[in-house]
Amino acid sequence: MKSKLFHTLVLSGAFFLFVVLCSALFLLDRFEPVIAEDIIKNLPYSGVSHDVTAVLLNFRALDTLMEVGVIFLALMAIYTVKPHFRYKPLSFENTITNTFVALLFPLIVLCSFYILYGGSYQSGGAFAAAALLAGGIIVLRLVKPRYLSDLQELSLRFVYVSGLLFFILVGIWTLLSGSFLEYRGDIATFFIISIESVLTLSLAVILATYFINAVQRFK
Amino acid sequence: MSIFIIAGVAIFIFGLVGVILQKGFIHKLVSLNIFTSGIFLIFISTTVHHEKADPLATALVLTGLVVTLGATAFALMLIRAYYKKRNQSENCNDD
Repeated sequence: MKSKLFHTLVLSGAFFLFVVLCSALFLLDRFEPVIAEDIIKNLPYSGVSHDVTAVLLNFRALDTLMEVGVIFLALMAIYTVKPHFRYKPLSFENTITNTFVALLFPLIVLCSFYILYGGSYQSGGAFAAAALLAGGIIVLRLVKPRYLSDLQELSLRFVYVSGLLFFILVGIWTLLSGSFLEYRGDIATFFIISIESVLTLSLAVILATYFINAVQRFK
Repeated sequence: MSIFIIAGVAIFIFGLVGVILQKGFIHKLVSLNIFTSGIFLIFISTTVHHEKADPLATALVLTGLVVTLGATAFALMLIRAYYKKRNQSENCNDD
């Protein structure tokens, strides 16, 4: 009886909140894209022709650095919880044939390269490419675990940190001739493409590690 | 764009109700993800100008998505550790 009352109370509160939020959002002033105009004006100096990529990796590159830092922090946190499990890796061998995986994985890698490079002039970029590549690695890990069983933990750790370290190195390099992560013109294109490439590989491995650690079976 | 705002608020409310009413931790985590999606939808749809999303808002939502992903992965590991610990203690009581 008590829980039924609680349910009714929560649901009516939710409906009230829905009405209040909707009316509040409709009463907002019209959105004026003040910063967007600035971004469009400075786009030629950013080194890329897509506005979101320019914001992410040039104008607000420090935010993206912190974002990669958060991803890495989550990985470290997962590594501290991981020793509590004695696990058996999840695998579905014989669900997909060798030939199909041999065709599928290169196709995924190719698509992720396209999305990575396409990020400079259309929607895409390092994070989307990394998510796709991580999906490819997860498929490979689930259906053919023996392909990845030779990987050493130590070399994997180098890949985990490579994205963040490379980003910080670029920041220090730009610090020598200006301020942290400030680049413009031709050199900006080179910096953005190189940062995105390293980030894609590193983030893909980190995201795949998230999944692989989360889906283990208990012994 | 008003339909997207209403949909965003609805998704947000559904997620919030799920976080409050669901008993299991995995259910709570999925509800949390649903309500962040609602917030992102509201954020994008309120900053649309001339049929085009604001680049700064899009970048912010991308950042938010990535942070949500990291938080979800860590929460999943913590939930598994919790259930494992609980099962262990129940087994000890049986013996």
